[in-house]
Amino acid sequence: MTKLSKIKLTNITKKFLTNEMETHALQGVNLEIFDGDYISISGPSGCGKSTLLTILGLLDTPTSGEYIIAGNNVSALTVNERATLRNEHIGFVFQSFNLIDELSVFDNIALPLRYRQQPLSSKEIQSRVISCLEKVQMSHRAQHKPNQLSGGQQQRIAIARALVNDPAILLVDEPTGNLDSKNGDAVMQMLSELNRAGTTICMVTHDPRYADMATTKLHLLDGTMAEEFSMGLAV
Amino acid sequence: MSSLRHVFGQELRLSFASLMRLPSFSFTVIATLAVTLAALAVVLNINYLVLTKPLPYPDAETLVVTDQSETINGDTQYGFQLLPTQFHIYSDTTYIEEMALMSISDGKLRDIEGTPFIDGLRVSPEYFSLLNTPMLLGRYFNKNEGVNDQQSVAVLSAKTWQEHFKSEPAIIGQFTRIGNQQYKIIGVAAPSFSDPEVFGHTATEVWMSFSQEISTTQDWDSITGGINGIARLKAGIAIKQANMALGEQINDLYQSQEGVAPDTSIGARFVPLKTKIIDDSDTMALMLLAGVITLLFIAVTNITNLFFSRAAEKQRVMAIQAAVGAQPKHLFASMFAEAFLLISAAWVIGLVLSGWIMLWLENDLQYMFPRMQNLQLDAVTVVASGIVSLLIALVMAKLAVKQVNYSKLIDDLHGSGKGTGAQISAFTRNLLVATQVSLATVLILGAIAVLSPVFDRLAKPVGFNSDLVTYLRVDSGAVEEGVFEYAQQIKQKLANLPEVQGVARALSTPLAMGWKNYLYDSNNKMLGIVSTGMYDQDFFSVLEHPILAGRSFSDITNSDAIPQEIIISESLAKRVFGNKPAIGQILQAAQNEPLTVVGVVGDIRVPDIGYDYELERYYLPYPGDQLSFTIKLNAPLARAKILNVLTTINPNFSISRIYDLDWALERRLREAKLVAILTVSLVLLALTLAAAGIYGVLSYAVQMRRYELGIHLALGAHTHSLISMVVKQSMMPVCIGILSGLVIAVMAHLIGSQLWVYELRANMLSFAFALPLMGVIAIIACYWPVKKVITADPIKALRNE
Repeated sequence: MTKLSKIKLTNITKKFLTNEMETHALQGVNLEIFDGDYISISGPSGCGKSTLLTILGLLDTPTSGEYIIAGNNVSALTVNERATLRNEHIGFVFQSFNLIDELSVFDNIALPLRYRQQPLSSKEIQSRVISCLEKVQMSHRAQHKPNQLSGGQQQRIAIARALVNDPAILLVDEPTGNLDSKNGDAVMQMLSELNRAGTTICMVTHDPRYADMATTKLHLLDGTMAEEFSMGLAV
Repeated sequence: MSSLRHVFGQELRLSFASLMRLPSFSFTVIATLAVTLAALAVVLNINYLVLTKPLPYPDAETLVVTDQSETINGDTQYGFQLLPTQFHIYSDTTYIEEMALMSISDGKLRDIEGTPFIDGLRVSPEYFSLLNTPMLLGRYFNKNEGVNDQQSVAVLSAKTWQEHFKSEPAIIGQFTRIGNQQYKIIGVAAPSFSDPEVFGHTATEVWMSFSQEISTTQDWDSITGGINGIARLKAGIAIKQANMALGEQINDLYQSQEGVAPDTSIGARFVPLKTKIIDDSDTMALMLLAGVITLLFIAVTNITNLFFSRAAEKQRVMAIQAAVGAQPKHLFASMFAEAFLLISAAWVIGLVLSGWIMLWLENDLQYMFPRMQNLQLDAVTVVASGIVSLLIALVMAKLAVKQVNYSKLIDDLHGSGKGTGAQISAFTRNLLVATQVSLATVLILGAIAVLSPVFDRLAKPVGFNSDLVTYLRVDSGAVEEGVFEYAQQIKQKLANLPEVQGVARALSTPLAMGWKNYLYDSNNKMLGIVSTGMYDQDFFSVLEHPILAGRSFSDITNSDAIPQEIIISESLAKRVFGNKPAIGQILQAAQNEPLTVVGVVGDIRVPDIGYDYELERYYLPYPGDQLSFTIKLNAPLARAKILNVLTTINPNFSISRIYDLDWALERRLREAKLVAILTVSLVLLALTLAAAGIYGVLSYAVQMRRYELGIHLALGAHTHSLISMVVKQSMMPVCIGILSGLVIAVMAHLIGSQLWVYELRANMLSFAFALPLMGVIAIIACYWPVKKVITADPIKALRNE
């Protein structure tokens, strides 16, 4: 069966200019992510992992190269068009959870739905949020505030928020960085289950144990993709 | 759009929850703006009512007031009319379409308990039709109750009917005595009726018909501001045209009278009704508006700083929103929702507050400004302040979101606790401080320029001793014969009371202005129209009014043998006689009736609304056709005791008016005091806001530098060197603010004096006061936040605790 391409990066470079010095964060990165993939990107500190993830998440623009997501070339998009694509096609999970303390768990998860081009009815929002809460087994915490939850629970809420708009891809940045090993394992377990249920995931991690849980492992070194393994095979 | 509406609706709910968790931020914004919006609403309301709101009469813009001019020796003054000339204009059919004749006629309601004194106006029936007076009960005058119809009918104001006639439903057809005349009450005006304030800002309490005969052949001896007319000119007739033609006619009439003073003439000087009502209140109203707008700018600068800090605080939340797909407009909606909630709350509280302020200041505002009857917040003011509030909310949200670099937001999301979050740039901080200081400097300079003449006026000695002096006017009832003898008896009996130190007869007190008369030299040459007082021989000693040369009047012992003497003020003596001695010279109050100058008395300074002091005055012996007295007391004197004295002389006698001179003086200084109170309140409010704002910005700046200060401290820096470092850096925008404030104030003064004919007596005192004051406020605002950091252990600053 032919897999559907969700994301395609062709020859992506990213340069930073600081104090008249050029830093090449990414140098000619090529990457294609297909429907149902579970990719891990690992590498040493400063290798460009986070830069790659922010470019993938449309939070930053590449210096050169082509980036296509869900059939859209993002090179010449406006700020608003990029926000809309981000809203509709990308789900983010951050190391520091990035939940809004003033909002309840329910409202945190519903947040992406509020920025949709086509607003949903309250009923539909409720059904989507509840369904995502069920996926992360946190239905009983809907009315709690994030600061009333443990780190692991907060990360699960962050995952539910990332899933609520049914995105093309889940971008996950060091999901276990702020968690103890027990909670970290539980979150990783959840991501694997989501992938098995069909969610496409691209994860940045420096923990080789968790990197191994992905179906495709990429290694980034000095801004270039060093190795690529899929199910243990080079492609 | 529908998406944004949807987002905004939810943002309002979420913002409410967020703000509930930020009580100090919410309170500061709401309190600052509520007070400012309250001041703005009051001042906008005043300006709208005084300057802009159309008069509530049909075709009001076509109504004119038939003011006259009077020219003496080439000097022209306005606002004094003659009844026969007004009657001539009233009778004109060539230029005048319709005209109402008006004459002030105050009096006591004799049939009402306590015989209250009310402000009345005699009017012809056209008054009601021209103004389309709405009636609560009965009717207004018909054409058979007009001038020379010899009818005595009255229309009560709604307030008079309620207060003095107990809202009696069957009032129509009843009779009541006003002064010495009986009137049939034929109507009660509706409470919504505001009578045009042609004669000042006092609301008319009763309208009476002209019961006396009026013609062009009599009443030529009384030129007064208490007579006037409201007219509508015939279609196609311009005011200028009517002034020319009717002015010439009334001057011809005037010149044809016997005993007309040489070198005098009169004319017509019709003015639109609105112009007459506004008079010179617009300057004060506009100055208040300028002050309150400056206050608004200061408040907005404060709020801007608070919203910048809030935006910095919300940076992380906004980054999360952006990461899940929020566009810049969504972030704006989020910030706007907060601003909208806070500013709406401030607007509502501000309106309630302004309602209270107006209720509290109602009497004072009515005294100072026209059209303040039935004072309440006008719908236009509510809408205007609402629009201002909405604009502030939009600007705050826009400025706050502008501080947020959308494309850099994501930096906030990486890692946990990396970076210090968003900061307000040094340039923005300095700009905020400089703006605050600049605005406050302008306001202080402006306020001092307004206040210094006001304080001069308040502090200026009046020129006589008003302490424990009481003015008494006796109501003689129907007694008309032997007034002089009665007066002598009353004076004697009052003087015998142990509480009384001295008694003098006087037509009025020196505090009652407006009594003016011609003055001629011995050759019948007109010397001008001069303030006049009529007193007996004891008056100057009773009032401790210094006689600088000569003496007081000879004793007045007989009403038929009044001494042919005159006493003049120092300024008048100087003008008329220069350095020559005045005593023994001849002056005349009427032609061919020489009076010898027997005394020169000190100038008195009676404060009056908007006028300079009338220093030139002359005094004549008072023969007395009125029973009025000035009494110097040793101790309080009961009203009952005075009444007892009066009734033992004649049982018909009663007290008509009695008041202390101090009270009258207080009333004369009321405008100056009100101006001072309003200005000082405005400045204090502005200074408080500016000081709080400067403190807020500088405190934020120090907060941002805590870590750096911690390093300095850890490396052994002395506290005084750190304080001096921070204060020096912070004082730069303060100095720029003060300098730009000075430049703006000077420019505003120069432009203002070109555009408007006004005089602001700015002096060096303004600068000597304003500059150190702003400097001190700024230094305290700089020092305080630094002190908090340096007095704690350095490690706290290093840990950002």
